[in-house]
Amino acid sequence: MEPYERFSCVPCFSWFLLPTSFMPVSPVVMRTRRRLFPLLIVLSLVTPAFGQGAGDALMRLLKGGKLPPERLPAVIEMVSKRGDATELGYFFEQLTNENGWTGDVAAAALDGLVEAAENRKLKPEGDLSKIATLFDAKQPAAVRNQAIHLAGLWRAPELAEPLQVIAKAEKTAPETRSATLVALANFGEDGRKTIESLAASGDSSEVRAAAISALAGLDLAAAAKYAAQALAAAKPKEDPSALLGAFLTRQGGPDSLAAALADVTLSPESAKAALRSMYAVGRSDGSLSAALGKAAGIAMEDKPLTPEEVSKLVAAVQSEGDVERGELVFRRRDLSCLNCHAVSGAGGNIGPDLSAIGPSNPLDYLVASILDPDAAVKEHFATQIVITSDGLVVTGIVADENDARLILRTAEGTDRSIPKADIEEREKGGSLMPKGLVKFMTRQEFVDLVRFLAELGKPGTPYAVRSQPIVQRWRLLVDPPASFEDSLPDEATFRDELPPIAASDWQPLYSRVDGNLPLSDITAGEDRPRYLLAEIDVRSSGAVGLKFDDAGGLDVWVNGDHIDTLSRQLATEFPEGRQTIVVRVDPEMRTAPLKVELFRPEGSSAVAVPAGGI
Amino acid sequence: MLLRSLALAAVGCLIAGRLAVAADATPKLELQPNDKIVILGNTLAERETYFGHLESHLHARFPQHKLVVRNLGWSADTINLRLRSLNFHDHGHTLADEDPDVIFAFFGLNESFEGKKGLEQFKSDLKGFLDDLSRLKYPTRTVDGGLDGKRAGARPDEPAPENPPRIVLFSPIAAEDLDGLHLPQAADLNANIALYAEAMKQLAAEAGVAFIDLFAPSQAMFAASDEPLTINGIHLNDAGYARLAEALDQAMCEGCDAIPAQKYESLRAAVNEKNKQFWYDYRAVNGYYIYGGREEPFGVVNFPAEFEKLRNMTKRRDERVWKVAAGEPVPETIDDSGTGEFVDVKTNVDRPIDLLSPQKSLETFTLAKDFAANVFASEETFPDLRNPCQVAFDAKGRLWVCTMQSYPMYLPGTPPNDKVLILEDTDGDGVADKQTIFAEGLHLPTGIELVPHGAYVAQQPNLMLLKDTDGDDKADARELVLHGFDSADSHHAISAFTWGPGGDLYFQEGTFHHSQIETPYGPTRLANAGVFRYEPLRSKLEVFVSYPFANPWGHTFDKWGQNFVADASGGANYYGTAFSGSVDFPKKHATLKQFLEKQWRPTSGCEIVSSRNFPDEMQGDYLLNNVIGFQGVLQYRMKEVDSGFEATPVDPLLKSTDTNFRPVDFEFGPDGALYICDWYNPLVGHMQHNVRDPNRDNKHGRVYRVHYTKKPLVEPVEIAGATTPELLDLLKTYEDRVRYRVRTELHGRPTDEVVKAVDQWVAALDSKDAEYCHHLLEALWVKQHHEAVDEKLLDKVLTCAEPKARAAATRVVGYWRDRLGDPLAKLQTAVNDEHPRVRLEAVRALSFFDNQQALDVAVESLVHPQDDYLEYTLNETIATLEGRVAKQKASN
Repeated sequence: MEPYERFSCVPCFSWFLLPTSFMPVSPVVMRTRRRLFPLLIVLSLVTPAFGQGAGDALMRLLKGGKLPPERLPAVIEMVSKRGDATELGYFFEQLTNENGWTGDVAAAALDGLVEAAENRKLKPEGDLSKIATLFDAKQPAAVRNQAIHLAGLWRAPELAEPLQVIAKAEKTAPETRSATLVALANFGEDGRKTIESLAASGDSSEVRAAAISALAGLDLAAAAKYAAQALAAAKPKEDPSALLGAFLTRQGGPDSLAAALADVTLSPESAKAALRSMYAVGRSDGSLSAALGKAAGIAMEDKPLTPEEVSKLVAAVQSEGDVERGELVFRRRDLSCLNCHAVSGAGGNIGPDLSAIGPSNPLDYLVASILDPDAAVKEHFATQIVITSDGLVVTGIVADENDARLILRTAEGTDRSIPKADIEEREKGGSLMPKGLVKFMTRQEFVDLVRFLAELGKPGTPYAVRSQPIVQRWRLLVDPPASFEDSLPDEATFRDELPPIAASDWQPLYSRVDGNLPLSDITAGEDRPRYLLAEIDVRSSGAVGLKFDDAGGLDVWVNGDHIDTLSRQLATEFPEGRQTIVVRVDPEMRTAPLKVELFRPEGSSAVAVPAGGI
Repeated sequence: MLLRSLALAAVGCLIAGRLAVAADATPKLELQPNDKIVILGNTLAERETYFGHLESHLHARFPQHKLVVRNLGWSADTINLRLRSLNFHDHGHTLADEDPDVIFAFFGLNESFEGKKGLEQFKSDLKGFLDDLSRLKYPTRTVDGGLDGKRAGARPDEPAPENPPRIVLFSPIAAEDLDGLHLPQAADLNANIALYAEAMKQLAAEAGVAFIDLFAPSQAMFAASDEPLTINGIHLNDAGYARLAEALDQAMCEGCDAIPAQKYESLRAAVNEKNKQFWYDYRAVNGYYIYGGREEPFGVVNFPAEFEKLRNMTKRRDERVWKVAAGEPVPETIDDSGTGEFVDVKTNVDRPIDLLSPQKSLETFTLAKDFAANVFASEETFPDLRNPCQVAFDAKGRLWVCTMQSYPMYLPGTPPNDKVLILEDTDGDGVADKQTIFAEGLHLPTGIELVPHGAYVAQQPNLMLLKDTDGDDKADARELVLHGFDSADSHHAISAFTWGPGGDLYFQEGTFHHSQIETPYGPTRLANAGVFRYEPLRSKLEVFVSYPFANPWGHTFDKWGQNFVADASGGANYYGTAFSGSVDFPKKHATLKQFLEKQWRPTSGCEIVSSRNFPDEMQGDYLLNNVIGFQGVLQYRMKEVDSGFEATPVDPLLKSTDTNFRPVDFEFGPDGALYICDWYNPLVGHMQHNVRDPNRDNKHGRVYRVHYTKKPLVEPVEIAGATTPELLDLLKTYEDRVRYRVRTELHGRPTDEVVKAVDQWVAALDSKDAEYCHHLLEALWVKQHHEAVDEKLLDKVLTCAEPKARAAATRVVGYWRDRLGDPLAKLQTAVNDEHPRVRLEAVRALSFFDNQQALDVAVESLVHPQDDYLEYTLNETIATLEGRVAKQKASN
């Protein structure tokens, strides 16, 4: 079934629309939402002037030559948090001076200047336009982007022109362009003109999206107009998340976009993709989801279920729920359950680990929690919603907080640092889990899903928690280099051309609860060989064994070394640290799922575990 | 408008006048029939509710008035800050809800710790405070997230009352010097208290509010008494409250006859019974489910009826008090019929519940290779063993268990009867055959730790010390030693009690909770989770770790005094040194990395393997109970990395398929076997089921014993009967838990004797012994137990060859800092130590200072190699010190 076809099932969800009073609309959350309160900045904001606190001593260390070079970045970071314009000026001079700091030290200094500008609104002494020397395309991308970011924060008028050049240049990398457009938004009318012209007629949809995003910070209505047009013109399967993100993250953004959507005609496919993209980041804002729902032909109104309806559902879970089908629903990519929830250590850590969710949670609780994730939120998973002075809205779980900044972990799993001084409003939110997930399921799928969850962790079943070290999280190489496709790459080719693990070429795949990774998940029905990667963390060096349920049709590289004769078990001496196992699966030679378990060979004292997470 | 200067003459007994110095200028207060008196204030007010002396005198003197007295006293409440958990103000006990005719306000002690420099601020705040009180505004504060507080409970839209309450402001009492405890000098505290008391008198006069000075009379009372009248220099004991009430009575009722003793005691019994029921209401446990963030969907079902009944029961007891005061007969027992009916709570459990016998449950265990387990004790042999929560072995090798048959909480009308049991294996067969009930009538003892002949138990919102003074293994003395631990969620209440190596008691609480505890060093506050550290000999309570945990429930120390904290709810485990530096409320430590590769959650209790019965390769492993999904004992191999530790999962020690098996605590016994305490309950979550779900079990409880079959058990050593020198030699024993119990035993011996013996023992140690530094460290810890500061011994450990010993001694420098010649010089040496752990301890210890010099020493550590923990702790220490230095600069 094509993913989009699932939407045809949506109308059968009319049972969600029945009027009732049961569903936990969480009166507590409602109450606190109304009670927005201004942050008391005066509470305890300690910004010690230089000459007291740790600053003096740190600067002496920094300049004194006693400090080993590898320690410089850490000290620079510490000074950045407290130094004054003179001390920051020393950083700036080192950065723009030919014989000054480079590499890690320069990166730390740039980060420090950004931190000072964002959190303390402090600029270094000196000629700020000299930052443009770091815009040079020869600079590492990270340095360049960070320098552009700084230029936007400093707003030195001389910098507008070089930024416009970068924004318009065809060869500018997407990330750099985004950074440049965001920076330009701070440069008044000149900046705006550049941004708006790119929003209207940039060369690619990516350029337009980046420009629209920057424009949203200046003129929400204008940006919404361009965004609506862009969405209407979007090709099938084009990812709308960048466009939507620009509005979801701004106060009033969803409403503006919803209003602009009234003037265009969206294809149902585009509307569904947009809805899905909202849910993936835990959002279900009323006006926007209504506008998109209308275009997609989905009824968006939610009525909580009555206790009787919940009982009926619970009964259905007990009588008709199918745990195996439920696991398939859980693993569906479009529902992104595993992006946030781990099972057996593999998956996201944004929501609670679900390995043992079944035995301790009654069915009515599971049903209610999926339908309305805000109904009961485990401590540490409740969100905060922050509105900044720039009108940005950030929702996330508090990852860390101090006097200077708040870090929220968002539904995308990224940490957003918000300067305390920029927080205009702050309130308690509900869960990061999106409310509308059920709209992407049939009733039976929902029932099966609950059944699966109820079974997770039940002792004595295949879904019981386990402690065997089985590789649970894989990464699939989406587009292997040509040299990998046709035949087995030799070791040199393999080492040279294997994309780095951090690259987006690798897509996470998770084994089933029983530890098997179905072949169809790997091949997606195609015959070409596929490459998978597993990581192993070795805590104590020594021999570690890998046991394959079935070695047929597999080729294995351990840290780049090809295993020439692969049997079901192999043992390798590993040093401490993270190890990489690459498996090539040839679907023409194999039908069995993939399952790999670690073991400790006789006499070995190695301690190793498969790497989990996302 | 306040009532002023009513005529004194009409009624014989009036509050006012003589106790206050300038009687003539002070407004007087007259009590009228049917007056409702609300008592507000700090621990002086709160503790009165447990003794009832002041209130009993009032009823005795005004028998016809039918006074209603409600004590809203709360530990460490001040005129500016009153911490409460979320939505406490919806519980029905705000000042406006209570709507008093008369307010007795007891403040000033906690405020006085600000000293002279805080006096002007206090005066201006007090003015506003009295004004607020007259309008029944008494807002409380909930700390949100960790930094921002918001005020709640003030209802701005509510009109001022038509008849403003008559307010009586009470000064703080004086501080008392006590023998045997290492307390701040009373004279030092009193200098400040007198200043604040005087300011209160002045402000009360200006505001036209009645004022009663307790400072001078209490000082006179202490001087005249042969026995201690306080428990810690600042909090009155039973005799202290009795004397204070008598003094007040004499002042307000000059020439009145003494109240007949028998009448007084029966009146006080009636008052205390009434106050107990009110207290169950006002200080309800599980508030978060009654009125807080989780009242929906379950709390709203049962709690309204329960509290309606409880409030009716309290009213019925008011009537009984009036009758006793009036000399009317009352029945022996109180008839609570007609006070209300409970709601029938239906379970939402949708699976069959199969409670297995202990033996059947044992059969579901899968143990690590060559291990064996047996049932040490269970409800089958010992029916009192119901919902055991924490265990501890005593010096006689007996296992103490706290039980919770009243779980999940008090049901109005059913007196709780939780217990402390002593289980004993008299014939050494590994099975308990004797039970002694050490204490009963407790309510939800979530934690226990032993002292010689007694135990500390959690009695939220208090910490209670139970003592057996005559050697019959029955607690015959109970004392509430600390007040103010929040009770918003009994699953988050103070728990996981453990002694530190230096004789300090640690326990921890979870998020939602807002605790404020009064100490002779000033108030200690903690919001939203942390670990406490209590030094009994100094009556000092500090926040040891202020961290945004979900719900920590597990804390253990290794052989070298390094500690590890387990956060139960999320399953996180942390290395204690890194985040136990000082932070100033309401700040909390920044997010710290976990030292352990998490597998499951939620956990409950951790312990380090140190037993010659266990296999060699397991020594030093970190054991962790897990209670949902994976039900058993997880095992992790510890490795020292840089300044800290890393732990990796190895095969679990125990895994059960009995879903009711809930290992919540464990401890190595005298025989080297591991004793696991099983809460045995089908339901464990508060959020997933009604607190009153009928399937919550309170009839089962087990203790299992796990040992390795390929090595002999450890021969138990004699601790209780050993001489002090013999005990010191036992500090050379391999097992951590044996040395732990030996130190506790030594703690109970006379200080002079112990110190002398330690000095002799140290002198006789062989400096070539491989364990020499560890022996020295044990000696230092014993002295720390006794507050016997010994700088020479400390220096010896600080310069010992073993870095782990130097690190442990560096921590002692931090705790002895006020009593050492030049602690910063020692820490400066330590930040330059070649070993990262010593540097980490030094950077941590520096956080307890408050000056630029300490800050400079901390920064100096950057010259040496850094790692995650060193960087983290340095940042934390610098943040704390910068805050203090800036604050000092601002106030100068």
